[in-house]
Amino acid sequence: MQPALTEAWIPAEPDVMELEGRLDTSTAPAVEEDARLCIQSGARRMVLDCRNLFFISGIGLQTILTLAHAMQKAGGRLILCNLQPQVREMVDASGLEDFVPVYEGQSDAFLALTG
Amino acid sequence: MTEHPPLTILEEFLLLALDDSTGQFYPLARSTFDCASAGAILMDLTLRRRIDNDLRHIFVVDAAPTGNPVLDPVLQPMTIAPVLTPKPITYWLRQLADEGEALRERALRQLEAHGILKREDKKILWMFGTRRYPILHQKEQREAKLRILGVVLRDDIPEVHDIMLVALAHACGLFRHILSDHELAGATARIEAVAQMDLIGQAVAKAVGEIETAIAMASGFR
Repeated sequence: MQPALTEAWIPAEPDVMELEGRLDTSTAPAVEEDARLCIQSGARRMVLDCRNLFFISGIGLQTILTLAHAMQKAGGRLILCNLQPQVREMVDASGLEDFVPVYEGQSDAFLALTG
Repeated sequence: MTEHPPLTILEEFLLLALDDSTGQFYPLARSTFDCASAGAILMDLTLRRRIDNDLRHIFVVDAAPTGNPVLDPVLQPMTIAPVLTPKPITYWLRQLADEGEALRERALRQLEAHGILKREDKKILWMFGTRRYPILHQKEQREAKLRILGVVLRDDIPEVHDIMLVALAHACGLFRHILSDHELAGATARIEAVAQMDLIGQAVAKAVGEIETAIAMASGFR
């Protein structure tokens, strides 16, 4: 008899969410909802690609942290890549990288999640 | 005890600052307490998505009342047109710190109304008034302590609400009352990393540091 599959199905490629424009009070709820839906659907390795994200506020940082927390609780990992200058400045000032890994480009991020 | 809404950051901070064995607050400089109370209010408004911030400025993003009797009187003047332009975080910290005692008083009345603590005024030698806040219902204080202990003693990614409490407790030196010397030594790096995460908390810590330096210099010159 075949053993029952008990582990969650993990796709070969990490999920990528491309953030655009601003991540602040006005956009954070939609980003949070989309990412949570991904986690609920089984995503356990997620890259937030910030190449087109030009502004992040304090609430934007909180949103990323909340998602990283939710992903960790689900047993997965969330990482960031391609930070633009203002986003990099906020991430550095808050020390977010101590909790959420940051990579230069998407290929480095993929490697970190799949390697 | 009646059912109550989730406690605000200021209410939980006050419970953490309260020594449950005496019913009195741990010794904190008045200006430090005022500054931390102001920071707690700004954090509460952030959690309710009424204000947002970048590295230096706070901006009002939603003027709608929160329904909280402590937060709404603070939010309302922030939404008046001349003030609506972004102001430095330190500006709002100073403005609200001037009302620190009144903010705490309102939050303590909320905690009394929730049946979590009571107020006791006594006279010593018929002259000196002392006020205590014996805790009637320890669940809330215990939960807040356990949550922030969990944050600083483990390596998990913390929740935003708990980061704010850790930042305030760290800025005011409350961890030396909550942790043993041994635990504190082991957790200091983690406490600093968690506290750094909140930009308003950073501004509170900086302001408290300046206050402590000023106090130290003033006592040195006496």
